Amino acid sequence: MSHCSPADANLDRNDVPRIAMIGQPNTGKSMLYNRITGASAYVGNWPGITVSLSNARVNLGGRTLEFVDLPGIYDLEGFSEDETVVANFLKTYPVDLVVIVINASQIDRQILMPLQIKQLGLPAVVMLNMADEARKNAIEIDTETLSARVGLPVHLISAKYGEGYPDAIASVDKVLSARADTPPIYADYDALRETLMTEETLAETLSGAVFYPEIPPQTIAQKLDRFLLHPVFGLPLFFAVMLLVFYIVWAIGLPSQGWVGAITDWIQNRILEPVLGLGPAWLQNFVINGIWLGVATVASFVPLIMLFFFCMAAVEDLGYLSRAAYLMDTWMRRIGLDGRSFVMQMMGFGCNVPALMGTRVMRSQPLRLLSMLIIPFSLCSARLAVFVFIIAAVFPPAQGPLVLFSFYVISFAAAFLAAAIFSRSKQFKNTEPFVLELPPYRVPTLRQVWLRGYGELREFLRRATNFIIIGTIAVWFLTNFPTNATGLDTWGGQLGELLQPVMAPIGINPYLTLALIFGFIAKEVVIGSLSTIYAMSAGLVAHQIGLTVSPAAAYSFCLFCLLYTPCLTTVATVKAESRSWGFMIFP
Amino acid sequence: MSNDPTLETLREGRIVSLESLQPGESGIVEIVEAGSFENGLSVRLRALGLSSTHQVSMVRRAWFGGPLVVRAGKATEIAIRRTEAELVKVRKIQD
Ligand SMILES: Nc1nc2c(ncn2[C@@H]2O[C@H](COP(=O)(O)OP(=O)(O)O)[C@@H](O)[C@H]2O)c(=O)[nH]1
Ligand SMILES: [Mg+2]
Repeated sequence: MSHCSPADANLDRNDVPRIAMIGQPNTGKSMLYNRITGASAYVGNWPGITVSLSNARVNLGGRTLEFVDLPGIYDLEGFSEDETVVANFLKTYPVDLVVIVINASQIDRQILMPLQIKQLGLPAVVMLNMADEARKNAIEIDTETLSARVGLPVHLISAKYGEGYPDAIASVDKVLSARADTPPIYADYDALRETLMTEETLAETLSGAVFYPEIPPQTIAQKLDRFLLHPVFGLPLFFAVMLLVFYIVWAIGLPSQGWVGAITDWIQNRILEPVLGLGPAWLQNFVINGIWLGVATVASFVPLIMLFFFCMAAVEDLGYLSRAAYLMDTWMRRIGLDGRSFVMQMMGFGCNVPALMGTRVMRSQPLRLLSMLIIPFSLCSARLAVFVFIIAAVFPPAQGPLVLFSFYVISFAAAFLAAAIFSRSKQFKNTEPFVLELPPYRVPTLRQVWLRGYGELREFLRRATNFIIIGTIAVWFLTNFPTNATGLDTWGGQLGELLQPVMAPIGINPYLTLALIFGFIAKEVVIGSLSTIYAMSAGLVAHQIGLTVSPAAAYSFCLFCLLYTPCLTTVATVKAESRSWGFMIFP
Repeated sequence: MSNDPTLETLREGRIVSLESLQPGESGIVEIVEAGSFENGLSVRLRALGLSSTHQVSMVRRAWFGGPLVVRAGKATEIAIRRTEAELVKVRKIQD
């Protein structure tokens, strides 16, 4: 459920002051980073969202600064892959300032990080984030006393609502001005290793500066969890919520395709055809049938994909995903995985690639490999588009959401089956403890949900335009040559025919076979190429398929599309993340 | 051996594993054993506020051998597997 292949930060230059944001997972670093830089880094209520670095340059008080959003880490001395990323970063790249982000309610334990940063010898400003939640928990923090104790500026802020933010930024500016002529600093890990931080150190730092209420007020989470984490009804309830998401997407998303279709048809009839009519006929054929129809088909999915991710962003930001990990762990444990693998699979709904990268939070290599093995089964947005297209064409409207939901169930079932089989091998023996923080429920803001939905959409389109044009052009060539042939006599038709002995028994006709072959590049190509193969606009293709393809064959087509192979980018990522070719060809 | 104070308290039944607490019961963490995790478990738990001298209470227990939810320190809820919770020894707070 996140952006495809987030680019690793480009960090070779150090011509402007560099500021690193650091903190435990889920403390709101990305949200603060977005507020400062105006960027849209991935924000989510799930520990372990940011697994690669992102950076941005901003102008603050007449000075250009570079901010780096580091992955959340529990311990500066930890050994998991994300913790190593941070340690390596601080050792390799000198910084001018560290912004330490802390969840104010959890200052009792998170105060460790400022103390550690101090040992590393880095200049820092401490942001006690989520001031709004701390207030609800009736926690009192005297920032001045605390600041004197830690020896660093301390600010109580809310990255989400903006409270305390101007002061905090002014403070960052002040620290930077004060050390304007000082060169940036490398972290001194030896000094950190030599000092022993005890519980007493933490307690002494906080005493007289932080006051927790004797009896903590009952939180909404406690009340809600009684239902949502119910030992028997918790899991069915979760699946009911997911089913509801599909109904919403279906009920609103599907009609929206018609509107986009009307727009693209208008462009084709009023602009493209008159203009191209001036040129040779083959050019018109090539542009309309080779490129435009494919592009238009993918475009018709834009509202639907956005809607799906608005819903998913809301579910995730609410804090429901960590609960899902808790609920599922009971079952995942039995097949050598843990609850987090399940959540990674749900993240794979957007695109398998970032979900694969998300497995970096797992320390045990066997667990990680096994999780990477099952993520490609996850039904990503590209496959979603294919399925919606086919299902809407073939099945009666009332059954649509259920049929679609069944594919999600099948994708999980297939993943579990694969894991169950492979976990028997010693190579995949899980050695990682399952310990997961359950964050409080948080109300998603419209802005956040919008940013996420929009981000997913942009990625979907980026991928689609990269692959779809190449894919549909290739399909066009195969289905238009030799020049005087039509239908099954073309190269493409013959290729489809060639595979009929295998595909006919599972009810897939030569046209659909050809679409599947190109689906290996990227799944978006499947629907795009269907338009090209039939040389009709999306609406007409759907009609045609509805007439010629039986529900059973359509189901079999989708199933095949789900299971036969992940797309090229996913395969490449599996290889990169697992660092082995052998593993890549496994699935 | 018989005058080992830890063993004494164990016999009195006051030091128990976190796994054995019932919802609503709480204790003070004594030690986190390594088990098969080397120090991986204790380092992660320390960062989450579940380490020696800190208070921990049981919030809920999933059925079918599923994980537990415990509250560590003031405001942190943690899901933890039973096998892992078994390694956390706590001094039970009687009320
Ligand atoms: N109530 C509240 N929630 C916040 C605040 N800042 C961030 N959040 C939420 O905390 C969660 C984690 O935020 P994120 O930026 O992804 O944290 P990161 O993992 O540290 O990068 C998200 O659900 C945010 O909406 C805040 O100031 N107040
Ligand atoms: Mg983040």
